[in-house]
Amino acid sequence: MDDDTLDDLLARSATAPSPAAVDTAIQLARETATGQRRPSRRLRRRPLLIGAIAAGAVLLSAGGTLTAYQLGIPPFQSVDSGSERIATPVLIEYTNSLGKQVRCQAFTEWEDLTAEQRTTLNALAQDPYWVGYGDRVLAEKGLKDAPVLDQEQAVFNQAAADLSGRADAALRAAGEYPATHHGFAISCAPGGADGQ
Amino acid sequence: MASKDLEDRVERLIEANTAALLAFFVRRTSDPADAADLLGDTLLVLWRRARALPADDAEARPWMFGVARRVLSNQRRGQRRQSAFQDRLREQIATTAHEPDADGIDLAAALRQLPDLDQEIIRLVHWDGFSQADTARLLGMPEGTVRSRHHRAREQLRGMLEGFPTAR
Repeated sequence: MDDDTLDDLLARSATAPSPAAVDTAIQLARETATGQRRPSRRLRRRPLLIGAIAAGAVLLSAGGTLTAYQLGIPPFQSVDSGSERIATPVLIEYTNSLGKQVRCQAFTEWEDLTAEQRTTLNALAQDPYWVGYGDRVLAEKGLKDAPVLDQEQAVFNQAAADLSGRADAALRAAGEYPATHHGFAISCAPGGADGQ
Repeated sequence: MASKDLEDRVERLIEANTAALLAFFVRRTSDPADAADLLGDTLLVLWRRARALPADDAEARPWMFGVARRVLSNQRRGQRRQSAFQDRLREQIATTAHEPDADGIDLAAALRQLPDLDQEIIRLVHWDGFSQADTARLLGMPEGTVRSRHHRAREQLRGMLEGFPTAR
């Protein structure tokens, strides 16, 4: 086997993603870029495409967002013009390992909702399941004394899964399933590494 | 560099390399759908480490893939982020990744018999298109070491593949 044959064999042995997957990956990269650029820049560009892909970053940098939180405005996040964020946030609270009470607003984001679906999803915030939710997550995962960033991440991960799951269940129960789920976002205060 | 210029540059470089980064992960994960999660994580890390990006574009590419390698080595599954694009990508990769065409030769099996580092050198050079110099930069190794290991790995592969049909 000569060098050219071996080179050719090696080159042809590489798995390649499909063109459609590449297109989607580039859209993902653009969405990420939109989420990671500074807010002033992002607001100038165009309506944002951020779903929850930016929420992790927001979560970790939300130390200065108390005012926005008090105003009920998810900080540094807007949504694509083709999607909407449910207006009524789910409130999630827990006491972090520094003894501070952390309050979070969690939102699901959707596309092409009907009025009935919107009503069903807004009602999720009233579910008593969310009372004490953050503290339960930390207790179940054994993270009550973990670093605050680990606590934030754990609550975020679990809330993303639970809120999305309960939204789907509520839509099914109301006979309004399916709906197109666009993303998940959460903002917490205080946040960040100091958790103060 | 002003923040806006830096952001523009990072966005340009990432977009130019996104397809290659996706392929990088598709080729290194047993479950191709994991590639979507790994790509998503890598994109975030690249943005967060933007200020460490080498000033020279030629050096930036191996640096970005170095980040990708670290993300791969720290792979962890989860639902840290959910995005419609990421979900769609996961499905697309799982169902439409192109299978390699190597005339029935199980080159992947042969490759797995090489030491891990040599496997990676072969992949970086022959699958991801890096020069041996860039491969050395990406791996943080002397170029001479990469060259000698690459040559040796090729000879081992050649020996393992002797006897297989090679007609195209």
